Amino acid sequence: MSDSNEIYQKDSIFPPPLVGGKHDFHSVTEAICGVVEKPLNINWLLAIGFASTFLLMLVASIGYLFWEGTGIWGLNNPVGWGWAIVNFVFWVGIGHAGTLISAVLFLFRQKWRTAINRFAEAMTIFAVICALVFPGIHVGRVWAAYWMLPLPNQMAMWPNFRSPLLWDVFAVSTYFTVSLLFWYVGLVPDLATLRDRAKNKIAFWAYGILSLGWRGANRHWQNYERAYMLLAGLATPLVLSVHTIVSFDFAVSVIPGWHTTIFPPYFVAGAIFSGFAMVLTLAVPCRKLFGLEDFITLRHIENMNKVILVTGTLVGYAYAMEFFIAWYSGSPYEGFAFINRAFGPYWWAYLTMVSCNVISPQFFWSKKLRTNLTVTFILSIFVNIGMWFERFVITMSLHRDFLPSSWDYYSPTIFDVSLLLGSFGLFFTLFILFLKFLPAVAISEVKGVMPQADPHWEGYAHQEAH
Amino acid sequence: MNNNTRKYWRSREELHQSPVYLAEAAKEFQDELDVSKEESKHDPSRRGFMGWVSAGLAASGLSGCEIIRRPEEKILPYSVASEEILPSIPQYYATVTQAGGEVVGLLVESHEGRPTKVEGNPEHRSNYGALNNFQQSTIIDLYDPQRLRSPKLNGKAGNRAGAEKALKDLGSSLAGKKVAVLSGYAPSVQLHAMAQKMAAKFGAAWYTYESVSDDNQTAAMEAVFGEALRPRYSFKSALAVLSLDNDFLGNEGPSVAYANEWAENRRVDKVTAKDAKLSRLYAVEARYSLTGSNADHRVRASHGQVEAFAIAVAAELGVTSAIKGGVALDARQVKAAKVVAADLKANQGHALVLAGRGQPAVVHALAAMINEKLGARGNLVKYYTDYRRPQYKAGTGDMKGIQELSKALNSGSIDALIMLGTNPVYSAPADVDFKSALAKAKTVVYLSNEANETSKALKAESSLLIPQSHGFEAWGDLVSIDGQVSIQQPLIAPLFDSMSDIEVLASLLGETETSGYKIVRGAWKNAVGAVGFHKQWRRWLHAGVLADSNAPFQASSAVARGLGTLTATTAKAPSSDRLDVVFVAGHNSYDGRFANNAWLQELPDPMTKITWDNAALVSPATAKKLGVEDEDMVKVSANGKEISSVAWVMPGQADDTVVLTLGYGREFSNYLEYHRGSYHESDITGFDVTPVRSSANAFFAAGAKVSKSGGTYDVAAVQRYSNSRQEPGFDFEARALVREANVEEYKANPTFAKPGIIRHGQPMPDQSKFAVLHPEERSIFGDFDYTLDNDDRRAPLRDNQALLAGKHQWGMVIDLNTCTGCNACMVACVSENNISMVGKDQVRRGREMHWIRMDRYFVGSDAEPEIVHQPIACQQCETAPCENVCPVAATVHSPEGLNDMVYNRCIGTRYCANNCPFKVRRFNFYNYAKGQDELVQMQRNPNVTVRFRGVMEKCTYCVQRINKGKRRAALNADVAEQIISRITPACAQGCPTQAITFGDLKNEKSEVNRLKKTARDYTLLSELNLQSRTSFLAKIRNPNPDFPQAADAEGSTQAG
Repeated sequence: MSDSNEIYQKDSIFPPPLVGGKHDFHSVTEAICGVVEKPLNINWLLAIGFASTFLLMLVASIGYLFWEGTGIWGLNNPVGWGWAIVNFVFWVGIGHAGTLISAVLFLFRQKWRTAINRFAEAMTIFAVICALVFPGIHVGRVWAAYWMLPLPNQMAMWPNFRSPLLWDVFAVSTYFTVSLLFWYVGLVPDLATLRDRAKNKIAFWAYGILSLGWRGANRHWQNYERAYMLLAGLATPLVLSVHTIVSFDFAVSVIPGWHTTIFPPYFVAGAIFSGFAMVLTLAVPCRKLFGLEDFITLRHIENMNKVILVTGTLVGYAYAMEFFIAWYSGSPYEGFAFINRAFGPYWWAYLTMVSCNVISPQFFWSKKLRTNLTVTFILSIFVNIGMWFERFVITMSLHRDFLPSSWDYYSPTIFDVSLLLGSFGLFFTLFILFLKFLPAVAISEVKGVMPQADPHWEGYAHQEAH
Repeated sequence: MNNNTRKYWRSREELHQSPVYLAEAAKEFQDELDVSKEESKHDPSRRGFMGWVSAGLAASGLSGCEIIRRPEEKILPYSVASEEILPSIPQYYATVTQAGGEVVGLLVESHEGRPTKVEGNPEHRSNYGALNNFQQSTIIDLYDPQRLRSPKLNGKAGNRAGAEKALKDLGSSLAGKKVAVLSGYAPSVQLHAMAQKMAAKFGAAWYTYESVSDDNQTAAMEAVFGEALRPRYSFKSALAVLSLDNDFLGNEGPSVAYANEWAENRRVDKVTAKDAKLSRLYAVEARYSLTGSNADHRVRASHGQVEAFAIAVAAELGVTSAIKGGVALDARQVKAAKVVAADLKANQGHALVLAGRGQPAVVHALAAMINEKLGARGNLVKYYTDYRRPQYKAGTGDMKGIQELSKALNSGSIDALIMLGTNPVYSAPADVDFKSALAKAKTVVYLSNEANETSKALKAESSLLIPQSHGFEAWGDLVSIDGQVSIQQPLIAPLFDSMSDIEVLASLLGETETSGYKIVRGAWKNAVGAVGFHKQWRRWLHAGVLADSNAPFQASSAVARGLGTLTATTAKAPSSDRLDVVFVAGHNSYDGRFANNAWLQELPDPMTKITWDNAALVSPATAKKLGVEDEDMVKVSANGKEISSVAWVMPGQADDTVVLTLGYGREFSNYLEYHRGSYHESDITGFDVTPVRSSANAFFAAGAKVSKSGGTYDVAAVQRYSNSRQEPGFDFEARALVREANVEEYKANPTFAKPGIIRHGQPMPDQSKFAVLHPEERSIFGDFDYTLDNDDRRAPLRDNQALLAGKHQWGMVIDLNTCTGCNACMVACVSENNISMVGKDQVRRGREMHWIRMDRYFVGSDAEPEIVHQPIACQQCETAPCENVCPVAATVHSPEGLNDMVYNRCIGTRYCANNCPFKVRRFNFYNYAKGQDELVQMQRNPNVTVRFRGVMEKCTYCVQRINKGKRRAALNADVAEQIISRITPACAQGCPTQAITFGDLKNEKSEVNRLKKTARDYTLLSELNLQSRTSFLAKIRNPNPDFPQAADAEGSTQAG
């Protein structure tokens, strides 16, 4: 690996620097903007072609869905929600890491976040876009889906404010709006950099408009930093609220296996867990492909692995506690719901979930493993799989509820599968576009954490003078 | 001034008669197009186009809106509106129908001349106002899109007039030729008269053939009474009933009336209030029948053991001792026979024995002898002349008849065969090769409602294929089992170029009068005399039944003389390589005539819960021995033939016995099935079992072999036996869904069904059998008392309770003790509420749409379980979990306590269905309603919205009926209370045993309030604080303490 690793591996009482390699401000700008400014290469075109094929599949699948109705999915009478809702919760969960890394770590002055925050925020935005696809399309009459919004109408009819689905609409859309603003505000100085370096008219105008007339004036920086701080403050409670409210979709119902007070913290922990895993899944190959090893260093990766270890263990605790409470409640319905999860028809899903979510993060107790990129990448994918299955297992509580006469089994159809794969297509299409057209690492922020940015830094210029 | 002096003119041009004016004036009343020109099909004029459109409308039956469909003789153009028809106010007409010879009286609801729903005629003694699943669904047969629409006359398409002429021509050419008539059971005065005329004119022989035949009974009656009689049982005072393989609660005999009478002595609170005894039912059978599932003691016996059991009981009662036969009983059965005999004897005068149609004649004869001995005749059983077979020759029967006919055809001695609405090519047993026999007939007249196996086997060039009018399109008369006569009154002019059986025969006979109306009315006028006939006739039509004094026959006074020539059969006990095969009439298909009726095909079999198919049913032990499981394809060989079918395990069935259901595997005319946006012809429904059937013993075959043939078949069952049995951690009892006790337990603790509330750390209250492990959650704001007036009410704090301010508060009680599980409520609900049928594929996916379903639970051991049936529709919870989760408030509570579903507001999130603890909400996954034929759409109830795709639907307590009642009550204030108390949802109306009671909870005197206050009342899942408006009355079994216990009586309730 690059020398950043060697530096890091040295035992030192000082924390290792956040930017590896021999970089000065200019070389940082060059390295990051270079990715955007280089002409399109064949690899990128192949990648976007591959991703957008899946996106097309999503569009086609949704088109057919609109034409035919939700009957094309594997849904049945007891199981009214299937993969569409599983995917929704999965993607919302993924969308947590971005805001957590940007906002919460920002407020806690965790400077290591700078290298990955842009990246993670973009991932958040795209994941929430993927998530937002599903509530809209999963309803039976899509053309009336907007009735969920509190719009004035001739019927003088409000939505039902007691419904968790409505809370969902507010929670997720608020989260999306704030995350988007936060991301965009952070992008403004970097967009100005791109504008200033632009070599063609289109880029000049596009980045020019997007950078909102940023000139790097002191006043701009002051306003920018205040706005960024305020947005971070606004976004922080949302990290907790979004998945709390998503969990209410289940927790507020009466269905055994859903009707559980542990859901809000358990969902939030799970969301952070899956979000970090997804950041790693993306970061590990990207830093290699785009030569960003100096910015996304092993230290970042190790830190994220630690978060995964903590949240994975929290999730494991929640799994155990669900069983305990099911037994302790004495309710035959709850008791059966959980035994059924582990040993019933969906035992394989439960086993997948537990092995991926509880067992696989435990490898990160070992420093050797959590600093190994291959292991990190593989385990991050396991966590993604496990977290998808967690949502599947929870949703499938529907298949065995109160009256055994109505029990049934849900199995997905090709259209369920195409939606899941297609949502990955959407996600990666957006992400690959992002990598190409926007700076994947926050240039201005990275510069701020470089040794050179320290007023007391004694760099080479001074050394020479002494 | 006279006219000539004053001239009026409109314009100056007119005044001056200008040429322009004259040219214009000449055109004033003329079409601009030249209509005299021959019209081209491809380029129709506007007028031609309008013509086609209106013809199309008329043909597709939408003309119901413009024309009142009444008998031609009285037809009025709609421009002069009939006095009694008000748009949107339905009319009810009394008529009558029959299937397999069972006659029931109907009241048919008709909207602007379009019949939409069938209900029972309370005046008719064969159904007392209720109907079974077949009769409820006759309405959809009328609108079957695959009905034959026009006659095929010697290979050429024709119309009705052509058919009449062809029949007349044929009739006049038949002089001196051999003519035979084949019909199904025809208990009709007019058909009997026609049969005589046919015999007189052509010397025609009349054969009657029913695949589900009563031959065995007829043979027994001839032996015992010397004539072909039919027993009409009465359960009104029956306290001990022994059913020898008779499914009188299912589909044998006038089952609706039987179920109704039987239930009277099962209404626990009424019976105990009178200090009377609850009746007790014993069933002995190989298959598991609906009657068996309602028995207090069911003796599982092989087919041959039923006979031995009958002999043992007869011997015990001293009826006959000499006779020996059947398959030897085991020790427990011997003891059971003794106990049953003793119980029958103890209830002498109130005891009744019935034999099933599948049992040999000797069992029927023994039953008749035992009834004679017990003094049941004249009281609990009356015998009437069997009126179902015109021109019946003693000693023959259906199976012999079809064999004789087949022989006669094969010998070429029949010149003309007239077949009236039966389908022998499909339904005749394999040894009667009717298809090849039919080919030998020189001329065939076939009256059929559908293109079926028989019509396809006709030689087109020498046959008249005539569409048969539905019973709602034709005049006729029918005689019920006990001689009650009803006039069959049409509700609509024939939709197609069809004829009725009477009309066909009249044309053939060359009668001057060939209209059904004139024939029937004329015959009755002749019979009762012209004086005052018009009034009498109108009275008959209004009441739906004739006075008994007009009936053609009365109860026979014949005395049972003995078994006559009948002897016991010599049967060997079955074993796993020599299995017994028992054939049963399908609960939904009967003999196959309902193969095209989607309402019936999608109705789950009450015992197996299979839809759209039949299966080879085997007991769990036999399945294990044969190495087959549910859904394995198997080969069944018997009588030297082989069929393939799918195996299905039926607990409680006799071991080493395969039960095969008749009426499936029809080659033609299967109902259209919804499939991705449109309707397609579905797969064949089920497996044809007739190839292994023989006419010698039509309901039984011995020495059969069953082997796995490899492969599996996806059975569309709505509830699976195995789906909860092997589930780890499943505790059915803890859920206390069905609560039952026996009479002794009930007497000791009448409130046994009430939940015992356990708080943590406290023991369960002693008196309670059913623990609710959570404390029953109550509202922290206190309970809401809707029986109080508005002002007295505690300030309600919760939204949905604040809304319970209506004048009426609706509620329902379902008595599990009288519910037989017959599914009549399900069909009634489908008919009333425009519920879509979704097809086999969608049922496999678990998307059936029934608003009320019949849950079935097994109790006890795998080998000999008891069964509980529990109808579940929306429970109308006051604190409905579905309501608060809907994001768009599409399901809300009405002030009268109904959980209303607003289809227009629903966007289909399905969250409500997920959160429904009873899973009674149904979702339109596809646009099921749209793809249906326009003809089918004619059945729809205009007062109920047809749901679009993406919309949730569920039981509304028939809110349209409630509102209709409320409107009427508002208009008739003086009788408002009676009108309100008569509001009945379709399920309750159709229930043969009146197990469902509906009414206003706010009315202290209402029946529903009375029942809710009884000790047996309980609600499901009360621990969820749902405050359901539907409650159940716990089941009370009445076992005989002396009855031998099963060795493996241990066991627990199993869901499935």
